[in-house]
Amino acid sequence: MPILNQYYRAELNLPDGRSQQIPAAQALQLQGPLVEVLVTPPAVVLEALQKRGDQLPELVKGHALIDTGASVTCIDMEIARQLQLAEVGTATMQSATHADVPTPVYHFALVIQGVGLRFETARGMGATLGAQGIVALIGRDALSTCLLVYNGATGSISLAL
Amino acid sequence: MFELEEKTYQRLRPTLPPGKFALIRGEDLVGLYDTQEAALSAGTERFGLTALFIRKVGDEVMVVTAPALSLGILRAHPQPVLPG
Repeated sequence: MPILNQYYRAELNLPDGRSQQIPAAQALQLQGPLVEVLVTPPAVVLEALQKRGDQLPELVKGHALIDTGASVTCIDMEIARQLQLAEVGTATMQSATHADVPTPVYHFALVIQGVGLRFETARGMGATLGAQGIVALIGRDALSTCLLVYNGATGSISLAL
Repeated sequence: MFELEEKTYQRLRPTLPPGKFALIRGEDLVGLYDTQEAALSAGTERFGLTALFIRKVGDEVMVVTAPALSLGILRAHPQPVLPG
Protein backbone atom coordinates (compact mmCIF):
# COMPACT_ATOMS: atom_id res chain seq x y z
CA MET A 1 0.00 0.00 0.00
CA PRO A 2 1.68 3.29 -1.04
CA ILE A 3 1.87 5.75 1.83
CA LEU A 4 2.91 9.38 1.74
CA ASN A 5 4.25 10.82 5.00
CA GLN A 6 4.96 14.48 4.59
CA TYR A 7 6.34 17.00 7.06
CA TYR A 8 6.03 20.69 6.33
CA ARG A 9 8.53 23.47 6.65
CA ALA A 10 8.42 27.15 5.87
CA GLU A 11 10.43 30.27 6.44
CA LEU A 12 9.19 33.64 7.53
CA ASN A 13 10.80 36.75 6.05
CA LEU A 14 11.64 39.13 8.86
CA PRO A 15 11.47 42.94 8.47
CA ASP A 16 15.29 43.15 8.72
CA GLY A 17 15.67 40.97 5.64
CA ARG A 18 16.61 37.79 7.44
CA SER A 19 14.47 34.70 7.30
CA GLN A 20 13.53 32.41 10.11
CA GLN A 21 12.32 28.83 10.10
CA ILE A 22 8.85 28.49 11.58
CA PRO A 23 7.60 25.44 13.47
CA ALA A 24 6.27 22.58 11.36
CA ALA A 25 2.81 22.83 12.90
CA GLN A 26 2.60 26.46 11.86
CA ALA A 27 4.03 25.69 8.41
CA LEU A 28 1.26 23.17 7.81
CA GLN A 29 -1.35 25.60 9.06
CA LEU A 30 -0.06 28.32 6.71
CA GLN A 31 0.55 26.25 3.59
CA GLY A 32 -2.24 23.75 4.01
CA PRO A 33 -1.77 20.10 3.09
CA LEU A 34 0.15 20.61 -0.17
CA VAL A 35 1.61 17.68 -2.09
CA GLU A 36 3.82 17.59 -5.18
CA VAL A 37 2.00 16.13 -8.15
CA LEU A 38 2.30 15.44 -11.83
CA VAL A 39 -0.81 16.16 -13.87
CA THR A 40 -1.29 13.78 -16.77
CA PRO A 41 -3.91 12.86 -19.33
CA PRO A 42 -5.76 9.65 -18.40
CA ALA A 43 -4.16 6.25 -18.97
CA VAL A 44 -6.35 5.43 -21.98
CA VAL A 45 -5.17 8.56 -23.77
CA LEU A 46 -1.51 7.78 -23.11
CA GLU A 47 -2.04 4.21 -24.35
CA ALA A 48 -3.76 5.44 -27.52
CA LEU A 49 -0.91 7.87 -28.19
CA GLN A 50 1.61 5.06 -27.78
CA LYS A 51 -0.40 2.94 -30.22
CA ARG A 52 -0.17 5.75 -32.75
CA GLY A 53 3.55 6.08 -32.13
CA ASP A 54 3.03 9.70 -31.07
CA GLN A 55 5.15 11.52 -28.59
CA LEU A 56 3.65 11.64 -25.11
CA PRO A 57 2.83 15.10 -23.76
CA GLU A 58 5.13 16.75 -21.28
CA LEU A 59 3.52 16.24 -17.89
CA VAL A 60 2.90 19.23 -15.66
CA LYS A 61 4.53 19.32 -12.27
CA GLY A 62 3.24 21.44 -9.40
CA HIS A 63 1.58 21.53 -6.03
CA ALA A 64 -1.90 20.26 -5.27
CA LEU A 65 -3.81 21.20 -2.16
CA ILE A 66 -5.77 18.49 -0.38
CA ASP A 67 -9.17 20.09 0.20
CA THR A 68 -11.66 17.99 2.13
CA GLY A 69 -14.21 20.75 1.52
CA ALA A 70 -14.16 20.16 -2.25
CA SER A 71 -16.60 17.53 -3.44
CA VAL A 72 -14.53 16.81 -6.56
CA THR A 73 -10.94 17.23 -7.65
CA CYS A 74 -10.28 20.45 -9.55
CA ILE A 75 -7.59 21.28 -12.08
CA ASP A 76 -6.28 24.59 -13.28
CA MET A 77 -7.91 25.26 -16.65
CA GLU A 78 -4.71 26.62 -18.15
CA ILE A 79 -3.02 23.28 -17.47
CA ALA A 80 -6.02 21.41 -18.85
CA ARG A 81 -5.55 23.36 -22.11
CA GLN A 82 -1.80 22.76 -22.08
CA LEU A 83 -2.33 18.99 -21.73
CA GLN A 84 -5.15 19.01 -24.31
CA LEU A 85 -7.46 17.30 -21.84
CA ALA A 86 -10.83 16.15 -23.09
CA GLU A 87 -13.85 18.12 -21.95
CA VAL A 88 -16.37 15.55 -20.75
CA GLY A 89 -19.12 17.72 -19.28
CA THR A 90 -19.94 20.95 -17.51
CA ALA A 91 -20.22 21.79 -13.85
CA THR A 92 -21.44 24.65 -11.75
CA MET A 93 -20.22 25.63 -8.33
CA GLN A 94 -22.75 25.59 -5.53
CA SER A 95 -22.15 28.90 -3.80
CA ALA A 96 -24.21 31.47 -1.98
CA THR A 97 -21.99 34.27 -3.18
CA HIS A 98 -21.31 33.44 -6.84
CA ALA A 99 -23.57 33.17 -9.85
CA ASP A 100 -23.70 29.77 -11.49
CA VAL A 101 -21.12 29.90 -14.25
CA PRO A 102 -20.77 26.66 -16.21
CA THR A 103 -17.23 25.33 -16.01
CA PRO A 104 -15.65 22.52 -18.04
CA VAL A 105 -15.29 19.05 -16.58
CA TYR A 106 -12.14 17.12 -17.46
CA HIS A 107 -10.84 13.56 -17.29
CA PHE A 108 -7.25 13.49 -15.99
CA ALA A 109 -4.88 11.87 -13.52
CA LEU A 110 -2.73 13.14 -10.68
CA VAL A 111 0.39 11.28 -9.60
CA ILE A 112 1.77 12.15 -6.19
CA GLN A 113 5.48 12.20 -6.65
CA GLY A 114 7.81 9.87 -4.85
CA VAL A 115 5.27 7.38 -3.58
CA GLY A 116 3.40 6.25 -6.70
CA LEU A 117 -0.02 7.34 -5.48
CA ARG A 118 -2.15 7.88 -8.55
CA PHE A 119 -5.66 9.28 -8.74
CA GLU A 120 -7.60 9.25 -11.96
CA THR A 121 -10.70 11.38 -12.00
CA ALA A 122 -13.22 10.91 -14.79
CA ARG A 123 -15.08 14.05 -13.77
CA GLY A 124 -12.81 16.73 -12.34
CA MET A 125 -13.76 20.37 -12.50
CA GLY A 126 -11.80 23.12 -14.22
CA ALA A 127 -10.92 26.09 -12.02
CA THR A 128 -8.65 29.11 -11.97
CA LEU A 129 -5.92 28.03 -9.58
CA GLY A 130 -2.71 29.41 -11.05
CA ALA A 131 -2.83 32.60 -8.98
CA GLN A 132 -2.90 30.46 -5.85
CA GLY A 133 0.34 28.77 -6.86
CA ILE A 134 -1.30 25.36 -7.19
CA VAL A 135 -2.19 23.17 -10.14
CA ALA A 136 -4.99 21.17 -8.55
CA LEU A 137 -7.26 20.68 -5.59
CA ILE A 138 -7.52 17.08 -4.42
CA GLY A 139 -11.17 16.66 -3.51
CA ARG A 140 -13.28 14.06 -1.81
CA ASP A 141 -13.71 11.99 -4.99
CA ALA A 142 -10.00 11.16 -4.94
CA LEU A 143 -9.95 10.85 -1.17
CA SER A 144 -12.83 8.39 -1.22
CA THR A 145 -10.35 5.52 -1.56
CA CYS A 146 -7.74 6.93 0.84
CA LEU A 147 -6.82 7.19 4.45
CA LEU A 148 -5.84 10.77 5.26
CA VAL A 149 -4.31 11.75 8.59
CA TYR A 150 -3.85 15.46 9.25
CA ASN A 151 -1.53 15.80 12.21
CA GLY A 152 -1.61 19.47 13.07
CA ALA A 153 0.46 18.97 16.22
CA THR A 154 3.48 17.57 14.36
CA GLY A 155 2.94 19.56 11.16
CA SER A 156 2.56 16.49 9.00
CA ILE A 157 0.09 14.55 6.94
CA SER A 158 -0.13 10.89 5.97
CA LEU A 159 -1.98 9.78 2.90
CA ALA A 160 -2.45 6.10 2.07
CA LEU A 161 -4.21 4.51 -0.86
CA MET B 1 -13.45 26.70 -26.64
CA PHE B 2 -16.03 24.16 -27.86
CA GLU B 3 -18.85 26.46 -28.95
CA LEU B 4 -19.35 24.66 -32.26
CA GLU B 5 -19.27 21.19 -30.65
CA GLU B 6 -21.71 22.32 -27.96
CA LYS B 7 -24.11 23.58 -30.64
CA THR B 8 -23.74 20.31 -32.54
CA TYR B 9 -24.41 18.32 -29.37
CA GLN B 10 -27.51 20.35 -28.52
CA ARG B 11 -28.78 19.89 -32.10
CA LEU B 12 -28.22 16.14 -32.10
CA ARG B 13 -29.13 15.49 -28.49
CA PRO B 14 -32.82 14.53 -29.03
CA THR B 15 -31.73 11.82 -31.47
CA LEU B 16 -28.97 10.29 -29.32
CA PRO B 17 -29.47 7.27 -27.05
CA PRO B 18 -29.34 8.20 -23.35
CA GLY B 19 -26.42 6.79 -21.41
CA LYS B 20 -24.05 6.59 -24.38
CA PHE B 21 -20.97 8.77 -24.68
CA ALA B 22 -20.97 11.00 -27.75
CA LEU B 23 -17.67 12.13 -29.27
CA ILE B 24 -18.21 15.26 -31.34
CA ARG B 25 -15.78 17.18 -33.52
CA GLY B 26 -16.96 20.36 -35.16
CA GLU B 27 -20.34 19.66 -36.69
CA ASP B 28 -19.82 15.89 -36.80
CA LEU B 29 -20.75 13.09 -34.47
CA VAL B 30 -17.62 10.94 -34.59
CA GLY B 31 -19.13 8.07 -32.65
CA LEU B 32 -21.18 6.78 -29.73
CA TYR B 33 -19.49 4.68 -27.05
CA ASP B 34 -20.48 2.70 -23.99
CA THR B 35 -17.88 4.30 -21.72
CA GLN B 36 -16.04 7.57 -21.44
CA GLU B 37 -12.74 5.69 -21.64
CA ALA B 38 -13.78 4.09 -24.93
CA ALA B 39 -14.64 7.50 -26.35
CA LEU B 40 -11.31 8.95 -25.18
CA SER B 41 -9.38 6.04 -26.59
CA ALA B 42 -11.15 6.09 -29.97
CA GLY B 43 -10.83 9.87 -30.25
CA THR B 44 -7.14 9.87 -29.42
CA GLU B 45 -6.38 6.96 -31.75
CA ARG B 46 -8.07 8.85 -34.56
CA PHE B 47 -7.03 12.45 -33.92
CA GLY B 48 -3.94 12.22 -31.73
CA LEU B 49 -3.35 14.47 -28.75
CA THR B 50 -6.02 17.08 -29.09
CA ALA B 51 -8.73 18.33 -26.77
CA LEU B 52 -11.80 16.20 -27.39
CA PHE B 53 -15.44 17.05 -26.74
CA ILE B 54 -17.31 14.16 -25.12
CA ARG B 55 -20.75 14.20 -23.52
CA LYS B 56 -22.71 11.49 -21.77
CA VAL B 57 -26.11 11.70 -23.42
CA GLY B 58 -28.74 12.85 -20.94
CA ASP B 59 -26.18 13.81 -18.31
CA GLU B 60 -27.02 16.81 -16.19
CA VAL B 61 -24.66 19.64 -15.33
CA MET B 62 -22.58 18.49 -12.37
CA VAL B 63 -22.98 20.56 -9.22
CA VAL B 64 -19.77 20.95 -7.25
CA THR B 65 -19.20 22.24 -3.76
CA ALA B 66 -15.82 23.72 -2.95
CA PRO B 67 -16.37 26.50 -0.41
CA ALA B 68 -12.75 27.65 -0.12
CA LEU B 69 -12.46 27.89 -3.91
CA SER B 70 -15.80 29.62 -4.46
CA LEU B 71 -15.09 32.12 -1.69
CA GLY B 72 -11.59 32.79 -3.01
CA ILE B 73 -9.95 31.91 0.29
CA LEU B 74 -7.99 28.82 -0.68
CA ARG B 75 -4.68 30.11 0.59
CA ALA B 76 -5.94 32.78 2.96
CA HIS B 77 -3.87 32.93 6.10
CA PRO B 78 -2.93 35.50 8.70
CA GLN B 79 0.60 36.69 9.24
CA PRO B 80 2.31 33.96 11.28
CA VAL B 81 3.34 34.71 14.82
CA LEU B 82 6.67 33.28 15.83
CA PRO B 83 6.81 31.62 19.20
CA GLY B 84 8.87 33.26 21.93
